[in-house]
Amino acid sequence: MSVTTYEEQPKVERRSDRLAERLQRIWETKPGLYGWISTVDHKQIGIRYIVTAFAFLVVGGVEALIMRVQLAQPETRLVTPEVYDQLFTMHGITMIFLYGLPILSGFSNYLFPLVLGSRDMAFPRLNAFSYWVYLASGLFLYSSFLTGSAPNNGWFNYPPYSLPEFNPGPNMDFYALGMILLGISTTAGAANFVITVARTRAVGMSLNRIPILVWGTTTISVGNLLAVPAVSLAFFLLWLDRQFGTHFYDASGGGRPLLWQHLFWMFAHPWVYVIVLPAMGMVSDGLPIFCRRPLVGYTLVVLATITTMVLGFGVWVHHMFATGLPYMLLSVFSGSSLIITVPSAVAVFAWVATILAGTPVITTAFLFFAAFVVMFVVGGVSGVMTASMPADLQLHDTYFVVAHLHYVLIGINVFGVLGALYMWFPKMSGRMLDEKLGRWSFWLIFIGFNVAFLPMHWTGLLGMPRRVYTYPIEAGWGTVNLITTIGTFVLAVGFLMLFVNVFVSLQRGRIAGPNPWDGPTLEWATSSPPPPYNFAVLPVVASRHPLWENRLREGTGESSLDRGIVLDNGKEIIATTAIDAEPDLILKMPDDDPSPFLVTVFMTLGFAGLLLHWWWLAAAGGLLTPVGLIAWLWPSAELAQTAEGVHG
Amino acid sequence: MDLRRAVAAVALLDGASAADAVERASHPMYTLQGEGMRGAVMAKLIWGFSAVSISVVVIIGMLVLIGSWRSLRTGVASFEGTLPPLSRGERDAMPWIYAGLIVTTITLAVLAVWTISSMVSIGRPPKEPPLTIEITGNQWWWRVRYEPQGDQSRIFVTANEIHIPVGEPVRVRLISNDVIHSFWVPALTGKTDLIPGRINETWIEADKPGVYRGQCAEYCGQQHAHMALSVFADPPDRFQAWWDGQLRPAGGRSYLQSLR
Ligand code: HEM
Ligand SMILES: [Cu+2]
Repeated sequence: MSVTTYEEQPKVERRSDRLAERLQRIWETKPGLYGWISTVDHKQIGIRYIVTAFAFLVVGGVEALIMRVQLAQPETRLVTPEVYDQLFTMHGITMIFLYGLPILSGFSNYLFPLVLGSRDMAFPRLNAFSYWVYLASGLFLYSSFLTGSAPNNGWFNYPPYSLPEFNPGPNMDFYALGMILLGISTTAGAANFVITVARTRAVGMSLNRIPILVWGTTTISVGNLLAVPAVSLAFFLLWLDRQFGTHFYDASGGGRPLLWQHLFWMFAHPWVYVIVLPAMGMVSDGLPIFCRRPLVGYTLVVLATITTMVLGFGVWVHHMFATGLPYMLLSVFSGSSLIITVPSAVAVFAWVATILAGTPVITTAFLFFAAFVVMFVVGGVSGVMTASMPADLQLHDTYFVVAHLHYVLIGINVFGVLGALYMWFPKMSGRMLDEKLGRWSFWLIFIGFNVAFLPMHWTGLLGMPRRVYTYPIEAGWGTVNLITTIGTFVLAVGFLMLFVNVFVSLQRGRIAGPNPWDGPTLEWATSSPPPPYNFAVLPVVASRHPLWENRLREGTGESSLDRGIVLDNGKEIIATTAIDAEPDLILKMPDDDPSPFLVTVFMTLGFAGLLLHWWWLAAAGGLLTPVGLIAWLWPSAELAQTAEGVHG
Repeated sequence: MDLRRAVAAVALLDGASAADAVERASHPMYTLQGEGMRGAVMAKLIWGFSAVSISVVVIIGMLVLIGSWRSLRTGVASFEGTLPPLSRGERDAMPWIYAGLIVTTITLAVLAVWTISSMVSIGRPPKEPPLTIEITGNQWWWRVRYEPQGDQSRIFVTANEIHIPVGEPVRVRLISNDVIHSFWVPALTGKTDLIPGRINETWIEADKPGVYRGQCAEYCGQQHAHMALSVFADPPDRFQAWWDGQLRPAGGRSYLQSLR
């Protein structure tokens, strides 16, 4: 057996036009349908994630508007109970799973290689794969509306109501299989983020120089690798119970309904941190730019991010305070749920200190970030209230919780995302969003949101349970519900304005230039939008703020952005060591490849077969998927890696 | 409507303040005013936590506003102008975080102690309840079975209406016949779930006579919204009379019969 050693000594040069042209040819995605299906460019994939997630936000928003009209007054008869149940369930599933994480994955996908000073994700084809599977699972879940049998048991889907005895239609099968499919996407994406951060950071980007967004997404990706298996298992067992009469959750057959609740919340509580921590990261990186100073307490914020995720795995029972579990257990979880506030408080005070010790520039992005901080606090304190077990026995499953979860999800996720959109849109499109229209949309969204959801706390304290399709006049909930519905429509107009802004600015926005906000990190060092290869020469960084270091005099040395490693023998990036980011290997990157798309199609057909009981289709999907995988993984000489490192 | 008047009348009769009675009548599911020991402890916690919560929101909101206001005044508010220079000085801002951390931790510690002591105080009834009520959840109604200590002949069943004597703890045993439901009467107690294959227990006690509305609080299917119940708390002698009436043989009206 002979071993081939590939060796290559990279050149170190200045950036030049000739080099840029050469790299463009190497990295460019091919035109046409083939290129569209087979691209592995993280920027295209990132934008696809963002567009798709916003589309799901709109769909989920329309579902919400219908619900709000139904609830505006007591005894309204706009939709039937059956339809309402499907609406609130699909709204929750959509927002939590099809919008909440994917939107953040989109930003992370787009930004990771850029802020890390690299040219693509560590596994570009896996990246394409996780997007396609996400899209497929979203379409899979939504195809349930075609047969009028969308999931109808709330996003937490408790058995026995989700078992065939009470829910004989295919509604729950759509949910169970769709979630297993989505879990594959999430897991693939998470693994990719972790490896990308560990091995493909710019030379010199040691752990203490990584932007907080990257910390956030990496932390939740590790969390996902641990949490997603629990929920995939839970849904798989549910599917077995439904299709093959096993009794995991069925009490009449000796199963335990509470087993589901444990498995589900063991996953789903960490998940709520999963869909906020990267948004918190974007704010931690964005807010300082508009406050004209570095983030106060970088290290503490990083530690807080990680601590939140770790503690997030130890609080799930606070969703089960009313289930009659032993008191001792409940008091422990009540305590841990209070403690998890501490790291969040650290982050809040870091942002507040950054605003107070800086010189804020009031842009639309800043407005969203500043509002985010306050909304975060509102959602946080109502969370503390529900963490107190005796108080929660009243608040649980009422509109108080609905208000709380929307402050958390809209306040922390949506406001952070919209700020990030205003901030990074110029990078993605090369054009600025209109600031005037931006302010209008901000104020409408901010006011509409608070008019809708602040009084909703009171609705809950007046005792209105969640998940009811209507309520009696005598209950006295009419006025507050009407206010909420009015606020919702103001909010919707704000969103409409935002979308108008995006469409208009794409055509006519002011040209942005590489660094319109004078940002400190590497994505601002390349053109807007960035070329397919991101950086002509791979930057070497010497500080946390490479573009600010001259002015801040951080004293850690000088980053080199114009002169660096040239890799132009085909698609190549540099791998660095995990802790100190010393150069280690040259990685050969794969070309555009349709196999991730094909594998997704095969797999989805297999899932459709399982859903429809067309076992031949399931078998065909099951056989074709590995065939596609073999095509994908077929060894290619072009991808042979250098065995020897880059030394010196 | 009937219910409202009945509540107000009963409450006034027993000397409760008119304001309380009106509050309960216009918002029968109001959570912030307990009419029994458990409900009162929970309401007190929510009031206290709310006060802390509102203060925190106001303080942080003010800080963010002050920080942003300063620049509005100094004229760098609009982005169109030149960006202000960068500045540093990590040291002087760090105390904000430390101070915030300390205050938060102390507040949370106090709240945790209060939480645990409240849990202890509502964990067990003050004395052994003489009466046990077994409630079975069904899509979408409540079956209520009365079980006095000892005497089997006095057991009987009602639906959706629960009668209890005032001033005495009553044990509530919760089981389910189909899917998960949750027993909840805000004035008297928070939620306890009814889970198939499991027997849960809680207890309630009403301080004042009255009619207290409750509703299923765990989503249980299409008519979950209409799975309501009422608790009638009567003075012990009236309660006894009602019970004796229930036991009268056919010809007298049992609640189940009168419902069907
Ligand atoms: C456009 C603004 C929104 C409005 C008006 C709205 C309204 C509603 C309504 C009416 C419900 C159903 C309450 C019930 O019947 O129990 C609900 C539930 C929910 N919403 Fe929203 N929502 C909005 C945005 C969002 C966003 C952005 C998210 C997440 C990122 C979200 C997450 C949820 C979740 C998780 C539920 C619980 C679903 C369940 O009970 O299973 N919502 N929302
Ligand atoms: Cu129920």
